[in-house]
Amino acid sequence: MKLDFNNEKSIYLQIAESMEDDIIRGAIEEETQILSTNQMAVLYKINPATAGKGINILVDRGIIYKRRGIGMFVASGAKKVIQETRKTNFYEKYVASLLDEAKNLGISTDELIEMIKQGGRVNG
Amino acid sequence: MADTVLETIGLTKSYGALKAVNNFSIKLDSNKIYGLLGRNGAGKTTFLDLIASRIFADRGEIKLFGQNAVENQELLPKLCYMPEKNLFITTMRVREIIESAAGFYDSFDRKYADQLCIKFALDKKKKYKTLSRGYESILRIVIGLASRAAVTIFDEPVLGLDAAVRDLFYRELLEDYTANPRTFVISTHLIEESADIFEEALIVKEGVLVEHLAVEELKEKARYVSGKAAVVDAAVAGLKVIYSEMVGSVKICGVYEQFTDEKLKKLSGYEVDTSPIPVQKLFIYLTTASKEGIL
Repeated sequence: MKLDFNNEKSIYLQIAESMEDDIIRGAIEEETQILSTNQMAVLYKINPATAGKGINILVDRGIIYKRRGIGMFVASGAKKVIQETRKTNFYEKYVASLLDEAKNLGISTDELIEMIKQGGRVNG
Repeated sequence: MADTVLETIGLTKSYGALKAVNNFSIKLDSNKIYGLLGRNGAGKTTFLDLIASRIFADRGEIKLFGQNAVENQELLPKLCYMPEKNLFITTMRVREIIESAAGFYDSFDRKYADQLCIKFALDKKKKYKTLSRGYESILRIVIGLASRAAVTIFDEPVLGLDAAVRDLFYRELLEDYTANPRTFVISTHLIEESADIFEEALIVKEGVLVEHLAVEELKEKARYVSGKAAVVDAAVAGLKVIYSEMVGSVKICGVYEQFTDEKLKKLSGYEVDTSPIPVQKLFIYLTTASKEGIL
């Protein structure tokens, strides 16, 4: 999990997102225990309330669940939930800005499609 | 919800014509870490001295755990104040100073104090007067943390400490706080590196408490808006502008505002760029003395 303190995003959102990244990449498996918010606080030098706020976002979405007296775990099916949500945001977040910048640079849609097909390697 | 552990009502202290602390009314909750932020001479130390009954207010009340705190002998062992200025007898050895603190504070943990001395490489045999500036700070950190007092106050705890030791302090503070929750009030100049440790910020300017809010909220309220001067002016019209600067033909405004969806939508209708304001910069804008009185 990585936090960027100069990032525009709030720390608690970064906590939620980087935890999600770890889950979809498989760095944290479903049904395994994650760090407690207190451990995160010490590790990243942040207030435990901030860590808690980030984790609660994931708890509310059913990605993380709490076992009383034991700790917090990644829910089974969490990876799928995250992927579905991110797919919905994919257009907005990446495709729309890609098209905008292509327009700024005078890259036609056909050229753009060609670039994507070649995996972005156009000019060698 | 959280209990109030410390409350001040209309707290005022003047030195001659200078109102060092002007009508402070605050409520601090149990088990939160507060950052007390202000420029030199803003009144932070006077405020902390008042809370700890080191000096006396001209007006106003201080309540600790719901009781009048002024010169209340029963409450003092539950409040640990580590001021920036020396309060120890300089001919005493570190060990003796820690021992006398252990006798005073109700919840003092001697074993933890020993562990801290080892972690921070503080030699207990040394006399206070032979300590360097940094080790004076470390001794205060050791006593403040080991006191485990329900309300623990540090005035500029990291003064004279290098980056590695400051880092050690922040981690130790968080580790012990999570294991033994209590209220901390910490004044500091080094805001950038400590802001994320605080749950709430108290911002003091010229003796007045100008802000008291969650650090996350504070950061979300601050944005730079930049672009062509006329466009920026139109975009920020009606918003609270705390800073503005011209760089060539580009105008940069610092805006401090509760950004509702409506306000964000209005802003996005203009050809302007927005970016976050680094917290240290924000602090400078909020606490710089100005005739207009931005806040």
